Amino acid sequence: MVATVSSGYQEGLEQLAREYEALVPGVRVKIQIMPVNGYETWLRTQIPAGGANAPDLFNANYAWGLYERGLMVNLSPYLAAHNPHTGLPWIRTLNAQFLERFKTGGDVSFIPLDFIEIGFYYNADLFLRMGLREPKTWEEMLATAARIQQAGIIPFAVPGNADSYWSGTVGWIARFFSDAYTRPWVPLVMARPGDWNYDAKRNGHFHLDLKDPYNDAYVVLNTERILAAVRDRVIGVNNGRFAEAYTRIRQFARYWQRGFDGASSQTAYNLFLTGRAAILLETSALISQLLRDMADLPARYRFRWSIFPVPPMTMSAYHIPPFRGVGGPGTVFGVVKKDPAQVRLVVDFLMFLTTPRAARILVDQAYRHHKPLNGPMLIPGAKLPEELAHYFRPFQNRGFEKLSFRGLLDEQQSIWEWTVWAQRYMEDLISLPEFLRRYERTLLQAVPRIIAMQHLDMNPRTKDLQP
Amino acid sequence: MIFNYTPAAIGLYRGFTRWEIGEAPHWIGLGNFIAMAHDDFLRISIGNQVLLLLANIFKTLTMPLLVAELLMSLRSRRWQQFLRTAFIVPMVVPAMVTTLLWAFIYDGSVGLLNEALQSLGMGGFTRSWLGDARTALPAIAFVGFPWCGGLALLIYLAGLTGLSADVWDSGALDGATGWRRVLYLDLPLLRPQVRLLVTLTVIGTLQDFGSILILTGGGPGLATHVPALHMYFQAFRFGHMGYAAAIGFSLFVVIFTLAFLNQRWGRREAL
Repeated sequence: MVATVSSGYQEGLEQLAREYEALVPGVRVKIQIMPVNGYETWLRTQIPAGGANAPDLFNANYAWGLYERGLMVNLSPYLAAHNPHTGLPWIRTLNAQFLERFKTGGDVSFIPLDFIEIGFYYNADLFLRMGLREPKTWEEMLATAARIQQAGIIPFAVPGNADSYWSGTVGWIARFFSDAYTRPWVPLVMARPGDWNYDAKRNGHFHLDLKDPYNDAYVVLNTERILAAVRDRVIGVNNGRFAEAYTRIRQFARYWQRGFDGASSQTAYNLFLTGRAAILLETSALISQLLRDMADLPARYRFRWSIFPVPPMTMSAYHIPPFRGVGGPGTVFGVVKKDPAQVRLVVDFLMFLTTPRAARILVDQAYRHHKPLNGPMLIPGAKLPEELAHYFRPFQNRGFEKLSFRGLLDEQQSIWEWTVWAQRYMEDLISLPEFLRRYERTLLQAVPRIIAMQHLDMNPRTKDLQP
Repeated sequence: MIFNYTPAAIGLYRGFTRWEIGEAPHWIGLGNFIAMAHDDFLRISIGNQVLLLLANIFKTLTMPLLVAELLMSLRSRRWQQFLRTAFIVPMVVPAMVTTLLWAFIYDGSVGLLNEALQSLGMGGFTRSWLGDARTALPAIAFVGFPWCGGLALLIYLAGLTGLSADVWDSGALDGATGWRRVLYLDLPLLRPQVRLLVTLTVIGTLQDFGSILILTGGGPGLATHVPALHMYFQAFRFGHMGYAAAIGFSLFVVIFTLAFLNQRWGRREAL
């Protein structure tokens, strides 16, 4: 069974499943498209329970931590293997950089099909009417927002409900800010000679260069060093860096719509689509939907729109580098641990699914059926239609976050606690020092939980991952 | 027995274990219950729950009873039947639809309530009803206004219909008419119905977190966080199944105790 969320690839996946069934007699591939709501819960209950109800192959971008719990297959040993569907080593038809970048404890735990990224969508007609241009700096963006606000229009439509903090817009904002403010800490927590995951090629010659967004892209971090640094308060959030970061986020929030707290992403989108808000921070996955919705609007309500990347901040006491992307792999397939014969079969199907030909089918079918695409494909040889490729361009070449803090190491309880404190801070119910103090406490309390969850011995020289 | 009691018994046992999702449970005795005593988030959620419970009991005891009394006082049987049906029919609307409707009503940016206030020249009162920590919990308590639940109405109507006309006639001779009749005759005689509804409200309120999950996710901050939602988060978001089982068992004990006390209170009153 292949399970994924309400996917733009549904038609393509169905076609490829039928082709695979014809290719390998006796195999039946069931594609299960799930709604986003409840998908994570479903994964987190079905996969540990095992059995026939657990998927064999699934979109793992909604339930991180399953590999660390020993429930997913390590795909690293298969990468160099011959892919019978291309006649080439499997790695040759995958994006090796992404695989390296998003390894879990040194292992490849999933295969990404595409990537997703965030950017500011703006009403280009409104900008033209007001004589505004795409801002090149964060400060210019806020000045632009002030002018829009003075004209009686909402500058930014931002959802502010709990989901937005947890896994949406406000969470992304916190992530790209914290990435920028914590980049100097990367050398403190990267793997060092003697560490089990030290890679001399990647870490040996690393020198921090804040001007290069890809400078630390391949540096291997060591989880135990991160946890030890937080535990020993070598790094943390109750300091001047995070005070400045969250002060800036609060300043930014002055230009969000009134009543953003509690607003859903649908509300924010509606504000933008109806022209009540000028700018919307969203993922690249919105492009297809916006094209479709704009075409559906009566002509007098349509407007031209464009996208600009998150601009760099130029005024800071900390020499902050340009903001990087908070996206990453969009649709990612992981294999659930089952009996070895089943795993071999599932990996073979995954190889079939990640050939350039299969990727072209997925894109073509999605485009033909007006289904949304996350972003550019990560399978070499699969190109997007020009219309989509044009809109996807601003999302590229910005690098990706490395050591972002929104909770600790994606541990869900710490993210939720951060959500609680951040909402209270943004609502003025607690002061900035109080927020940072509580946030720091959340991180410290998360350390032993993560140690227990990942069965770590806190010796960076030993690999403690579950078998 | 198998489908109701076996999972409950397993849940009780797991409440005494350290059981992380995907791992085998390990017996830790009262460890989870001791952790609950130190869980600040749980403590705050209990405070919210008490307020919501009181609000729900108030809602159950007032509007449905008032409507039932008004329906009973109608002289026209046809109108009585028509209005009774009209009040009962909305019961077929799924609770989820009602919740989503209220989410739209309360929306801070495009919501019906704020639009109505704007159009009435009361723009100063508009706010993000579910996004403001000061109004989120009252807003959730207000959901379902005018709170004339079909089930409660049916139970009150059944109770009132079952009252002997002789009681009202003799009460009328003593001057118990109108509101005096409701206060001094109907309410005391409807005690079994009130008791049942309070029990059902306690069970329903303490178990329900779905509407809160959809409306606010327990936020902003912890403003609408309740113990059942805490249990759900612990189990399915954080993977702490053993701790969630302990919260679930504690909820069962609280619900059982409140229901038991309510029944005991009713029996004493009856003696």
